[in-house]
Amino acid sequence: MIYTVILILFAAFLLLPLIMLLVRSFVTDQGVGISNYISSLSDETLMGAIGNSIKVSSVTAVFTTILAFTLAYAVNCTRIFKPLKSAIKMGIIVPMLIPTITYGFAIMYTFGNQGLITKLFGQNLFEIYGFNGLLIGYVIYTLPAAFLLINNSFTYINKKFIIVSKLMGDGTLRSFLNTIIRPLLGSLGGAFILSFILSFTDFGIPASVGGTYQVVAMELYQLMLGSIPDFNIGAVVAVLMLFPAVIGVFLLNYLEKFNFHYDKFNDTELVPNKFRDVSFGAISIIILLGMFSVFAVMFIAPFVQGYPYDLTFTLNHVMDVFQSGDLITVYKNSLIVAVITAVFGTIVAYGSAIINARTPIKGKQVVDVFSMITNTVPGMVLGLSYLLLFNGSSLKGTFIIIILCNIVHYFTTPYLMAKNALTKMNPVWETSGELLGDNWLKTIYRVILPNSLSTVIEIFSYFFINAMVTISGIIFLVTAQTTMVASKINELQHFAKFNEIFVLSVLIFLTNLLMKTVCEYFQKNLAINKKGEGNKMFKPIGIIKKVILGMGLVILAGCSAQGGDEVVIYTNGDDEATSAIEDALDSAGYEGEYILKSLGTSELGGRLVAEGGQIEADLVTMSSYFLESSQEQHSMFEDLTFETNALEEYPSYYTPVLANTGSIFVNTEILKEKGLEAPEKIGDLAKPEYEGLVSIPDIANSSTGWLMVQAIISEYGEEEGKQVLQNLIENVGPHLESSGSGPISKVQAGEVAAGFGLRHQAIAAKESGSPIDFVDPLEGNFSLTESVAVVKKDDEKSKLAMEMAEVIIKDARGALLPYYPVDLYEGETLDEKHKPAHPKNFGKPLNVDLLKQHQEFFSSAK
Amino acid sequence: MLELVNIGKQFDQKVVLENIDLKINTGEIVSLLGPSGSGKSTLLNIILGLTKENQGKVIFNNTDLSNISMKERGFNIVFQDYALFPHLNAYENIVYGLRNRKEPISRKEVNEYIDFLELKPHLKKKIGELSGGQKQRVALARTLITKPKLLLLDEPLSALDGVIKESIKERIKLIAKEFKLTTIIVTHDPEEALTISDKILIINEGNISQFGTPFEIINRPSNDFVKEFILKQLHIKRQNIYSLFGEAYA
Repeated sequence: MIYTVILILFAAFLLLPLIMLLVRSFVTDQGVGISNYISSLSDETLMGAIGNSIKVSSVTAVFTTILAFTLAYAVNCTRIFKPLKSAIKMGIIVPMLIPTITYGFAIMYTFGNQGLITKLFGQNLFEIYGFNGLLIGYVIYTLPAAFLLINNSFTYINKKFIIVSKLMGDGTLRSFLNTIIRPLLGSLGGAFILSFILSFTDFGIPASVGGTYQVVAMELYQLMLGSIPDFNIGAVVAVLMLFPAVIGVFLLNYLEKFNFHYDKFNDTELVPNKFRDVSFGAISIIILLGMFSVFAVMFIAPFVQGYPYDLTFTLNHVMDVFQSGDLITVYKNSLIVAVITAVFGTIVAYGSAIINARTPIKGKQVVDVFSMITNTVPGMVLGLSYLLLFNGSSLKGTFIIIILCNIVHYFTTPYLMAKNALTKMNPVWETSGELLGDNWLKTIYRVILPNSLSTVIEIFSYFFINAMVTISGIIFLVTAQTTMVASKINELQHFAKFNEIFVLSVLIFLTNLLMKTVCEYFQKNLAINKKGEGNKMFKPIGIIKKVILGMGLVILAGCSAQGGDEVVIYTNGDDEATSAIEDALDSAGYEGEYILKSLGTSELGGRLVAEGGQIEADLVTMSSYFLESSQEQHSMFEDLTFETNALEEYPSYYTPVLANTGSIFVNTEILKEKGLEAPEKIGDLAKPEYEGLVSIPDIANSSTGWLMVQAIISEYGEEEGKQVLQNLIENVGPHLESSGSGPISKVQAGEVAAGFGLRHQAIAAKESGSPIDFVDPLEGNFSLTESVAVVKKDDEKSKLAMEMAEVIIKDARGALLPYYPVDLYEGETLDEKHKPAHPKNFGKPLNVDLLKQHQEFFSSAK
Repeated sequence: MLELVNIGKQFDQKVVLENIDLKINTGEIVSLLGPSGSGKSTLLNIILGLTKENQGKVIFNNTDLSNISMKERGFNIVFQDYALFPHLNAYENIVYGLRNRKEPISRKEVNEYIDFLELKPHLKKKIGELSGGQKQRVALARTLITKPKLLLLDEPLSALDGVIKESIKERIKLIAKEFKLTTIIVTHDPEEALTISDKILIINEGNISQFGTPFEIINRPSNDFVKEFILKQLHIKRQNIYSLFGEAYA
């Protein structure tokens, strides 16, 4: 029966989604064919991204393999101080406990202009956005896995060979090559391939520090959740992403034959060599410190007033997170998903291994095939295939789909761990159990399980930790009600909320550390118990029962947490807007009756276009031009049923919540440091003295970028404007941001001197005490409205959503006006100090067609 | 009485056992002797019910066991590596099967087995803390406590050294006598087989080479295999002992 359940599970949640993905990659507007592949393979941007991915992943793999080998050599083949060996073994796992998306922000705050390391060295060591940042992030990400692999192989090297080689008269190099490198060749190759695959398929690091260096994971993300999503081409990219991973897995199997297998070996004293010990000790310390220094900022920034400018200690940021119901819910979601993933993942992996290792069932090798496939499929590809297959099903937007994705995504390693442990066990235990009166299941429970409990605990911990940190697998599957911490971090970066990002990361880190420590405590007790050293008997089955009971409670809590009666609000609004909306709704008595999910403009736009009326949201606040094109395609919004009293006329299904206004902003300290005059217009930022010191948003991903393009075109015309834009983009270099909030965070962090973005964000930064000032450009302050619309769902929630839309328009405007100073409704008056100096309107209607034209204009200037 | 009638077994295309006919009387100790790969372990597993024969019958006390599962046959085995459960201590291993018995066994009876195998001082020890001989005795106790109708021992002495080996040999003989328990032992050591058994079945390449008492094997070897493989080993051993200690020790 277990076998059947496992077969069904993998057929439904591995094979079927992948087949769907493959089919989808051949679907075109004209039917079925290979034109998607032809157009993808001839798309220079996509091919460039794949090339970049291969390049950066290869270099990562080289660095990682060398560093991992060095550390493993220090641990196994030197007589360095024993506590240092323990520190290496413990310290190396730290990155595994943190989501990769956090690495990028940590790198930015460490190696950036105002970073910890930069301050230490007094200058920028290198440009961190793009290749270098990715390389550092990937190396840190892949180093633990590579180290564990090589370190494990080191323990199988017979160190007597080193002595024999010396006695035979081998020189240092020959001895090293013959007794260390040759036996490890398979593992070194394995570490290289593993690092390559992990880097090639990671999403978190490029999402945070990739800059303009396009890699395939980001390309896939933008194709699926960008402003103009293309599921079919996305499927092609996903299939293309599979190739290196498939080749890698085959290579790994091939490399297996290079591994040496020694049956018997024992510990042998190493030949004393002071030079070796001192040099490897020093190198290991440098590697570890380098790694820790990147993460140090994660533990410093949330505990100071305003890193890096005001380093006064404070617990305010931490308290804010704990007081924010939204963030705590997200943390609880992650915890629930991690626990359930760990429980069921362990059952699935262990059950599969039992079938393969301890039963004579015919065709059991199929589990090995599943394991090989799950090892090959990157998390993003798996998540995407789920999105394509389950989009219209009731599984969409549930914790269940995320948990299933996690279990399948992380199946291989725990399965192999369990299979390895179970294969090594005495093969006649089941027979003995049966002869002593147990049935098969009872023997598994009474004998096999207790004797593999240490592995079970390790598997549990593996699933838990990975489910806590993963982002690649779940990024396409999370919804407002199932947001995880890692995906929340991805959202928070749009608002440059680094303190929240770091507090959440620290929270994940501490949770994982706690889980690891508890698991290791149990494993240690089991080992003592086996040796008979403990005074008290360690009762593993009792613990399992308690754990299962505890998990049951968490699962119950998890199920109840899903609820589902709340109105789901999707918004692309910034922090100030979401706060105003929440305050208005709470004051009107709707607290607890809605869930508000913030998304980037392009991501929300993508979802509106792709999902139409099937979108999870009941209420949307979004750039008006996107609402218009969504309505045109899907007719998905209801007519508003309340009186708005707007100053201008808008379509019947939406009314504006706010108008975003663009402006220039500067970091006054950096301007002073670089001896620059404050700019007066966008054109000034295109001057040579601003080279490398400007950040702007990319119109391809951000509507804020459009405000800037409107200003340039209306002031300079298309011809001269293109020249201005060309010079500006040259100055911008790697600081072209995909998010509208990217430039302000760069200016705030002191990475650049000036930027273009939303005026209210600059005001907020200035008022918070940062050395920021804003400049209304002479070309004009252009604005875009963001409006509220109710999704047609014909249920009770639509009625409630309509009431909430009215509350937002009537009650939130007072709080919004100071930040978004454009009067939209009768009776609104503006505070003089917040009024933009040069308000202007673009001559043509702002719709998706105009946006596309302006995107092409921008693209031609690149 | 255990009766094997025309037993045959093939794995894939390879014939492992052919035309095995054998009768073992109640309370007898019989050794299955032969080189590695001769088929003796397969025969043991067929008797146990772990491996299904391709032809022939296993009859026990006039009951055909061909369609009776291993569990229902009521036989038990001590495996070569004892298969003790390392997460339990010696006592917990010994009483492991008791909770599955329909007729309960009294504490007194359990203690009798423990005393008989001299295990009292070791009951609280974990399996990893026991010596080879102690493990062997724990495994015997765990098996005997289930009151098997037939005791099977797979290479019971191979992992033991000198003096312990002799003591366990004596213990096995005593068990067979004390409990009137038919005992079948698999071994590849002629000396072991000849000194412990009432009868010996010599198997070569899946066929019976000779079945008889130790006296008959030594004095009337039925073919060259018995002479060359079985008896020659004993001669070599005897020569070694003579050369070390002289005729007086023979």
